[in-house]
Order: sequence, then structure tokens, then C-alpha cells
Amino acid sequence: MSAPLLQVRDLRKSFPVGGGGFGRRARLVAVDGVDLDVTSGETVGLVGESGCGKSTLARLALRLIEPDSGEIRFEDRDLRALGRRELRGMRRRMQIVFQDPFASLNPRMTAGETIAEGLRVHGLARGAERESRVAQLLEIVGLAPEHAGRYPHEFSGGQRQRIGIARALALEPRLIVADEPVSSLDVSIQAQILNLLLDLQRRFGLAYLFISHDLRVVRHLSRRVAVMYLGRIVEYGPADSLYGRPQHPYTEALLSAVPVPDPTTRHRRIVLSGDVPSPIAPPPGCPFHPRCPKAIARCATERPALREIAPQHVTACHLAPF
Amino acid sequence: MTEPVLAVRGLRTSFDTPRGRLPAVDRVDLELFAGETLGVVGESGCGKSVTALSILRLLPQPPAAIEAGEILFEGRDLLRLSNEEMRHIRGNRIAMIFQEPMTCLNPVFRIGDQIGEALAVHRSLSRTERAARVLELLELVGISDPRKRARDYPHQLSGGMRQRVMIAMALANDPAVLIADEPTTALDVTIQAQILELLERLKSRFAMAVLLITHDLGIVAESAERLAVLYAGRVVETGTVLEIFAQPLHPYTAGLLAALPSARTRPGELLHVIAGRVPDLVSRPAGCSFRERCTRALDVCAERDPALERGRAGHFVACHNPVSPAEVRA
Repeated sequence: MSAPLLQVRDLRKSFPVGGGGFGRRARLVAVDGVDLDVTSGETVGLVGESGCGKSTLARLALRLIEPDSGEIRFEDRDLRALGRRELRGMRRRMQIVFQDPFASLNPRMTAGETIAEGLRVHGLARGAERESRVAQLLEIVGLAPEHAGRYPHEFSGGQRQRIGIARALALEPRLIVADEPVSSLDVSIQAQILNLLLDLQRRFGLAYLFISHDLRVVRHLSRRVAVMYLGRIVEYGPADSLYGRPQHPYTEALLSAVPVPDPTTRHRRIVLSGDVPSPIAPPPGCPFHPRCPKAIARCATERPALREIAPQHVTACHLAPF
Repeated sequence: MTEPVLAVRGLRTSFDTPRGRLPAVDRVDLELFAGETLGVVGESGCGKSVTALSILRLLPQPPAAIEAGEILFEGRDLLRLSNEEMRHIRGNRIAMIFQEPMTCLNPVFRIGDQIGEALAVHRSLSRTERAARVLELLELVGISDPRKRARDYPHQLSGGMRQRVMIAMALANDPAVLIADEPTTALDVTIQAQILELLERLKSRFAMAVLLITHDLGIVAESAERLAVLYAGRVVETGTVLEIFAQPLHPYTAGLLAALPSARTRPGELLHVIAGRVPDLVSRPAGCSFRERCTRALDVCAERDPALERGRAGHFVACHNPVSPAEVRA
């Protein structure tokens, strides 16, 4: 089997918080020893609640921020060993699409300039060739060539997200990291963008690392899904297996909490008590144990490691399989 | 049949904009009965929040103007009350909670004092009575260690806890109607489940009527008994949740339901899409507002705006060519 397109091993990142002045500053552990693979042409979904570290992980994977430790391999090359020039060359093949299509577009650049910027920076096309490439990209994402001359404020939210996607596509990447790309969009527009992502994947063989807090959307797009809690992956497996037979109490609660748009089924909601603990002082043992309805004494002292409990399906829970 | 607690009839609210008059809601009819939750769904700009704010007369006028209609509550038309009379309704008989709790919490006051103030405005209670009631309310909304929490400032609380405090404030005076405008949209899914559970428990305990504004059809399916779908400032379909989910009549409702990834869609298959986008309300086209995005549009749709009428499946729909049962199953 060929090596995965993206391979992340034991990745760690913490940020200093508060303090200032003298004395030791506390550290917020955002990503705490994560392993993740994305194979060419597949979609891996990454779910979790606010502050679980999913966006930090996305940025680390592209080396947009520097990890404290760990390994990132893209196309079987060690990203952390690359110099700036080489890294920039590599970035052509891995792009990112952000949640807020307004904040991520420069309001003083036209859609055409935004899309062409990558081509210009990488010296890939100039003059008439660049223009025709921009027109082609606009068409691919469902906009018209005449949109090239307009500014971000002239577009709707869904159209801006299409521009963000066209910008990512311009350099013909193999991997797109999509960080909550449909979270700020209305349902009918969300469906348009999800269809576009599916269509582009089929046409160009793209791989996606698709990050979302919406479990329904992740299920629809992803072949494999990872669930994060307090900086760690607590469960990872094929989407069918993970959604069908979740093997971590957190995944189980998360899935049961998603409102189902079908009034004839009354499913049982597992309501977790309390909030997500602070990542500055995470609980000892299993970080989920204070909220876990199934916790036993061992969970408060011993941190569970990821173990395989079904083919390709791993979970970090002492009690699995259950 | 019982009388509704709250009835909105023929509401039209417009805004003055540099581009002209924008009718944000027009001819909106809603009825809310005691002890029920009415879900109001629709996409950004459809007029859900404007309807809610019009009911409480919370829109700044100008630029807003309530141009037509009546809002009947406890036998009176709220639109005809003086400002003083309206103050006795607001936060007392009709309360409202918002998406972002910080819009109604003051960052520089302790939360116990803020809830106490909501009580003091509408009731004459002694200091000790008031303090006891504050603790009772905090306990009611599931805040542990209320005595200690009452002394906290809003920034010391998590998003879910702030939402609970806002709900405690809203419930302070036993309202007959609670308007909840996207109360869980800013929350994580496990915290959302906690808040939805809390609202359900409180509703049945106090026989409150809840007007639940949301964009999430999943929340409506789980929490509401009846539903009103808004599109471009109009109610396009209304009825019980069971009827509408089983047999949507308006092509927009049917499209919204089909656009969601659900148990019925296979992973990776293309989702149903409603082409185009919401029309510009300043220059609303003649006829049905949805017709330019509608795959079922007839000639008549460009000529006459359809009225909300009883449809085949027992609920009300504003459409000249409603979806038939056979098509929904297909």
C-alpha cells in the first residue's frame, strides 16, 4: 500500500496563557499527542466541540503554526524539515478553506485578484493565461466569469465560500483542509456547498480533512471520522462503524445529542452534565471521566490509550468494547 | 376550541433603508397556545427575529415601523398599548431569550443582582424574599451551588451557564409566553442538549407557551408541536410538526427538509439543492416570492401572490401548486 498523503504522528502544541510579568505562566495544551492519516482522494472528518483543538490540529497539519513536537509527513516528506522555500512549494499541494468566507477574503481585492494571487505568488500563470484560468475556476465553483471584477461585499455568504474554494483550487492541490466550511451558511446554501465539495473531489481526486462540529454533515462527507476531546483523539474509525456502534461514551453522547429532523422517532438523548473542563488544567486519568456516565474508579487515575476494538476502529476508553 | 394565548394577525414591519422601504415581514399570521412550543423556522433574513421583536415592540422606530396588523395577548392588542403599559408586559407576561446571552447580561453586575432587578421591576418583594427567589430561580435552571454563583459576574460563567442565567431572568416573573430566538445556536451540541432539555422541563412545569425561533429543523422536530415556515417575510406553511414533516406541501419546506443530510440520505450522494437565493425584499417581484427558485412554478405564480389556505394534508400553505404526497415519497 502506498504511504498516506498526510501523516501526523504524536503531534503536540500548547500555548502560554495569562500571567505576564514574572513567574511561570500556565500553558493551554491545545493538541496533545495526535496521530492522523489522510489517504489520497479520501475524506477524513474531524469532529469535536469548541476548544477541543480541531482547528489548531488543522493549522499544525499544514504547518501554518509550528508544533512543539511530533511529526508531519506530506507526500512522504517531513514537513518540519523543510526550509521556507521548499515549504512554500509544498503548500501548493495543500490548501485550506476557512469558516468565515468574509473574514478570509481581502475586502479590497476583487474575486479575480483573490483567486489569481496564488498563481502569481507561485509564478504559475501570467497575463491572459492567468485570466482564463481564473474564469475557468469561477466556472468550476459555480460562479460566472464576470464575477471576477467584483468585491467580496457584493457577494452572498454562499458565493463568498465558493470564492474561497476557487482560491484553494487554483494551485491544483491534492489535499484541502476545510475548517467548518459550511457552519455559517443557511441550510439550502449549505447543501449547495457540500455538493460542490463532493463534485470537486470526484473530478480532481482531492483529499479532504473536513473539520466540523456538525455530525450530520461530517457523516455525509467522510469515509473515516476522528472525534476529539480536550486535545486528543478519543475515537477514530470508519464512519459506518463509528456512527453505528460508537465505542467511546463521549462519541455516544455527542451522537445522541444531535437533533434528528424526524418527529416520528423519539431517540434517547444522553445529556452530559457540566461543561468541557479547562484545557489549562485537564482532569487526571481519562479527561472525559468527570462527565462520563459510565466512569469507574480506574478512569480517574489511569489515562486510557487508543486501542483497536474493531477493524480500523480505535477508541481510548477502558470499558470498550461495550 | 381554546383561544390562543398570543395571536399575530396580518403583521407588517418595514425598515427604512438607504435603498428604500424594506418590508421585512408582511401579512404574518401566527397563533400560540398555552403549553405548546411553536417552532418558527426559516433562513437568515426571512423575518423570524423581526416578528419576535415586533411582538415585544423592541425594534427601534425609526428605522423600523410596524405598519399593519395586530398582536393579541390576554385580550388586548399589544400594538395599541402605551409604552408604560408595554413595560408591564415585557419581561413579565412575555419574556424573551436570545442567541447571545451577553446581549441581555450586564458585564459589570453580579448575576444574582441582575436577576433580582428583573424581579424588582415587576414585583414588590422584600430584600430577603427577593434573594430567596433568585436562589430558587438559579436552582430551577440547573445551576449548581447557586449561593456562590449568584455572586459571580457574567464573564466567570461558561456559555451554557450564561444561557441558563438568561433563562432564569426570563422566568423570574412566571411569564405566560417565552420567546426563544435561536437559544442554542451559539452552543456546542452537548450543551445545546442540556438547554433544550431544560426548556422542555420548564415548559411543562409552568404550562408556558414557547415561541421557538430556529434555523435547525432537527430542533423543531424534537422540541416543537407546531411549526411555521417563513420565507422572505411571509408564512408559507404552518401546521403540526408531524403533518409537515410527513407531508410538506410548500416546495420550499420540502426543499429544506430534503437539503439536510439525514437517515434517508446515503453518505456521499448529492444533496437536494434549492437553487438561487432569497429575493431582494426592497424590490420584491410580483407574485410568489419563491417562484424564481421553485421547480414547480406555474404562470399564475408570477401574477398572484398565493394566500395562506388550508391544504390537502390538513395544514395551511401559501402555494398555487403544492407538493403532492406521491412526490414526497419519491
